[in-house]
Amino acid sequence: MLYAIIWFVLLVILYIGTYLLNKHTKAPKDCQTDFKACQGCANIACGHYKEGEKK
Amino acid sequence: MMKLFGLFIALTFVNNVVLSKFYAICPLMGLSKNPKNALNMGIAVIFVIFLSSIITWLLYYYVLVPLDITYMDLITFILVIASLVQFLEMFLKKTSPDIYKSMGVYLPLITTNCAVLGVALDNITANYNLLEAAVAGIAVPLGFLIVIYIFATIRQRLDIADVPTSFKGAPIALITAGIMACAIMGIAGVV
Repeated sequence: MLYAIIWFVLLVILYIGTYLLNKHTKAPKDCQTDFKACQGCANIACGHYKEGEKK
Repeated sequence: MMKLFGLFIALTFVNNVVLSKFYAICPLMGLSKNPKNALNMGIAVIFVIFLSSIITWLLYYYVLVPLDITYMDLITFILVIASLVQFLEMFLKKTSPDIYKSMGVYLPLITTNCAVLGVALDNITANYNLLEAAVAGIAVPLGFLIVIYIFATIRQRLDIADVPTSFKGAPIALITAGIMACAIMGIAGVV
């Protein structure tokens, strides 16, 4: 049981760490997201979702 | 070698992840309006599923089994796949801006693609070794790519076809997917 809890905490830390690292990594300079591809997508957890809504 | 080849053909065509097992219906319906988007999504899925197949297999047999916590496989695979997608997106931003520009927007969608988790779990259930898991990690997303691309080209034609008003959009798309699934059943049992 202890191994499971420690393993779970490690995985959560891994996910939070990669999420924060990705969030702080800037996209390439002239990168323009093709929001037409986002039509019909209901994934509100996607980082591009709010930008797509504004467009 | 022949066994691996047979496995490759079976997972790509006969036991196609979309038409036979009915995984990944969401991206199939959501990203098949444009063949270019479908192709980009398929390529991104190949990257993710291949890497996640290998990593989840290694984690299961070298971490979960020795520690006797195999019941943690589902939560482990979910978090590992989500972390892998974040890492891959970050890696592409830094090293391959061109690839990121073409398929970066699809990467967050892959986290919710049940085919990724499905392949990871199926590799364990089927008792594949590492090589077989790697072959599955290529064959399954390749089958997904083929189906989503064909489906996108069909939907392009359906948009200009004379479809009754009540069937336009999702209804005719679902009927088309069902007919494709029936067609793939014709080769069930071949391999």
